[in-house]
Amino acid sequence: MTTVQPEGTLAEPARNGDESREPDPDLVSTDDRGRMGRGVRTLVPSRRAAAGLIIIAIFVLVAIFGPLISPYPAEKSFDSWLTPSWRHLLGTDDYGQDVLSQLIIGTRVSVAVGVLSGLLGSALGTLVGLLSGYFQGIAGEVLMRIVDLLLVLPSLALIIVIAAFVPSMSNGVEILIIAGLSWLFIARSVRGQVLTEKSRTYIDVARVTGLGHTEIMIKEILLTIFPVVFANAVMVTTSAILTQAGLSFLGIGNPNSVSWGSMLALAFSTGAILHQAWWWVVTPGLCITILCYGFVLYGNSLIEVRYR
Amino acid sequence: MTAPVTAALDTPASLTLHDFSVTYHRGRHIVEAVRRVNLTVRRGEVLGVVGESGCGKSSLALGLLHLLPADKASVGGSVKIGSHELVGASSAELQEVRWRDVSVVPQSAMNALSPVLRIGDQIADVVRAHTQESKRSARRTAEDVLVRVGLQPEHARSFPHELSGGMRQRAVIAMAIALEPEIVILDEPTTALDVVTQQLVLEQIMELRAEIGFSLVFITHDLPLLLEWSDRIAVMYAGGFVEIGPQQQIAENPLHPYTRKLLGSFPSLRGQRDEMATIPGQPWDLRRRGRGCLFAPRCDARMDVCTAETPHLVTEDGRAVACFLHHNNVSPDGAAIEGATA
Amino acid sequence: MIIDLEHVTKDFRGTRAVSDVSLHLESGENVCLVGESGSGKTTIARMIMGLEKVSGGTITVHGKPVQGGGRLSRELQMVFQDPFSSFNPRHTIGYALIRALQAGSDLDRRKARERAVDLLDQVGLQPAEEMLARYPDELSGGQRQRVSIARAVGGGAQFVVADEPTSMLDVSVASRILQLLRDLMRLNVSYLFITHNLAVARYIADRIVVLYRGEIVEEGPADEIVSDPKHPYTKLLLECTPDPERPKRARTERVARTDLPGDPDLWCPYADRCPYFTQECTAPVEVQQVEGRRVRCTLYSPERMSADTAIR
Repeated sequence: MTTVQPEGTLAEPARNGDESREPDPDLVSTDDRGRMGRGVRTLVPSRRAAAGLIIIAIFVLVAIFGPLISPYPAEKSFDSWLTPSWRHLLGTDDYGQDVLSQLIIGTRVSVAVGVLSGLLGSALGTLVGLLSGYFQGIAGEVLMRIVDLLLVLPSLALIIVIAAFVPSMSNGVEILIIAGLSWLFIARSVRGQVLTEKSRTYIDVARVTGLGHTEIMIKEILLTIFPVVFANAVMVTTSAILTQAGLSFLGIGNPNSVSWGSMLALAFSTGAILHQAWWWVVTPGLCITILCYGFVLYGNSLIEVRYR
Repeated sequence: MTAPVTAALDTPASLTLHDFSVTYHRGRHIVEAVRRVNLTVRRGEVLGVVGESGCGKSSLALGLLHLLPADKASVGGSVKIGSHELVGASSAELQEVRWRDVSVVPQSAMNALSPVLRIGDQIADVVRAHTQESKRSARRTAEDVLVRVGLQPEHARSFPHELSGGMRQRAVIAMAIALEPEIVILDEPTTALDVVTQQLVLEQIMELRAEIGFSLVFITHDLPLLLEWSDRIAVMYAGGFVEIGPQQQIAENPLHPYTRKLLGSFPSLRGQRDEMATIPGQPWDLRRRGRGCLFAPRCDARMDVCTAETPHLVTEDGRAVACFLHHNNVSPDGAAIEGATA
Repeated sequence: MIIDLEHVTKDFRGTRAVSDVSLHLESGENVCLVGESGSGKTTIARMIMGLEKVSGGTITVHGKPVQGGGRLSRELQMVFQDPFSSFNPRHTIGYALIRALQAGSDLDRRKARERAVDLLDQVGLQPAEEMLARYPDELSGGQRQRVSIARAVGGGAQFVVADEPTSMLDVSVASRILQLLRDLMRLNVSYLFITHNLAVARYIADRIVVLYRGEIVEEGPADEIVSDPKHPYTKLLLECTPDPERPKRARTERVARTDLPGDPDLWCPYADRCPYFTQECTAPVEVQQVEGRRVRCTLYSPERMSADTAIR
């Protein structure tokens, strides 16, 4: 069954369009070839992306509405070490606090700190990468050497050291510290992308037709590399979530707030494993994993579309 | 350069295409890129195939050696080399013929060299794929053939990015002649090169031709180039040949209106400076089905019959033309140009 | 518009891409830079446009030196060689064209759009309105070059630098683009056209400048250069230009000299390929005035001319 194309009519006005020296059509499709990077379709390109976004959205909603949906306040204590039941869906911990409630309340910190520091770091990294890639020159080089140096140092060790010097650790400080190290990776990556795009002819065209630097950086370069930058930002956010959990677990995080990391810390330090309290040991880690997985799904699907 | 060998009409044929077609299919879309063409390549001749982008010439080159992906393209008709029939042949038979009897240098081959392998190794790979030569022997063959195309044996150890465009093109040609085939098909071999490099590469090819004795099928859109180098020229349009004939006759007395227009559409080195013909409209889009002569919409000499019937490629006195201006033979397919219907 | 290059040189990491080039360009005259790859022709174009900085010498437009880093004025524009990368794939043709028209002018969006439609019409892209909404990957190479040309001339440019605008197109398509360029001359546009094909050069240009390895080796009226080339390299270029009207020629003598005494820089850059090389051909080779043309070759130096008439 051939699809019938309209027959060539002679009355067609002679168009002056030309063919260029491209290879013969290997595959001729009269379908609209998928447009990459146009509008909102960039942001949700596939089912995997949608799945990832849904997972993220669920956690964000839980974070926002935490106290409202939590069955009990986090601090209220019941009997300790209760196994999961209808009253306590995920049992209680050593202090008798409802695990599910803690998870829900803890989502706030984990999501907020993780996502915010991821965003902050990405924004900063993109800015630095863009500027140093576009303008190059000495300042850009020096900046990149600093970035390289900092990248070499093990970030967790660095964070621990910094945290030790900080007088008091609040969520805000945590965000700053984590963001302060995650921007490095993005800066390098963005700079590389910018350097590649800069060499393209259409950037020369933009300069020749008189577009200003800012416009070129944003409308021409950033727009083009945005999907990859976004995908990288998503990865950075994942890392930030893990880092935050790690800090709490190690005890250098904010001591005042409940987070998944702090739950894990408590679980281990009070011997939950010996009590076979799987509901307390496994669930915070599971939450971290699932949330990160949501980001990974989303981020990867963005990169795939770009390079298909 | 030695004077070109003009193959006489009774020279035996190296390659014969009969009713040869190449069809692309994807789902329900079907495109006939090469429409039942008949063509003979004679021993020792230089046959130029000229056509614009989208006329099917690359499909012709790759299709006849069954180098197109089998799930997307199918080939019909007959392609005979010596006694081998290629259409419908098994992989083993094709393997015997490829590169040993016929080789192809596709368009932009010089950009398709593996960037992580040395040139010598890539040529050796080709040799070993089609012969029983050992690694060492194949490497030696590779070095030898590099010298033959005007490079140094040391270049066998170079990577593609270390060579200039002209040198990479020579390397790719080296691959094609390494097994001294009877027929070499070059698809736009000098398109990306500047005129001086182009000249040098072509001279080298012609020297090799004189040395080894292969027939050359030279595919390009650059008609003036073919007029300088070919013995015969075949003009391709919309998947079929509209005119085939000896170079001189095509140059002095083109029969088909497309050939005529094409000849006039290049800036010349002498004569009136501002005279240059252009062909109105666009080249025929192979995705469309059409009725009658597919060039008719752009033809200034078209008649009523041209839109109703398809002219057959009729040979007379060593020249072939598919045009009702010169004969009345209708294509045996009948009125419509049919894609292979499901 | 007057563009002057005075003793311009350009070095890239130790290699001299352009060497002592002096050129005078004026509105009203179409000039062609001809040379093979590596001759420096594109580099010169980019320096004129301010996309590269000169290493030595000066380039002035209307007497003012060209600033590095961007466009000098709306009157000087450029068409690039590669139609496939001349457009940001994420913007429509309309966006690219309208934005270019607006930059540096006070056209509001509506007026710019009207002008864009008019321009697309003039360069043969119809229906123009529909074209505005298309993305670059929906257009063929020839169509994209037409848009590039529209973009270049749209702002009232007097001078357009065209860097091999047709070399990536089918030759028959190229002929239509060349014809378009000629047609647009009625808009008082002059071209600095870059190519490696003398036939194309002759079609477009009034004056041809032949470049070899970054130096000007010959310069003169287009017709004369093509019919009576003086410099040995120009002769080589001419022989290598496909010419359907010329009978098949015997292969010309190819020279590849590897025995140049001393440092290669001591000699004329063409020395290793020149059939007429003598010990007199030391660098720098003086530019001679021969029959209304400039030729950088010792063949035409007074000493040699009187001594050896056999060459001519």
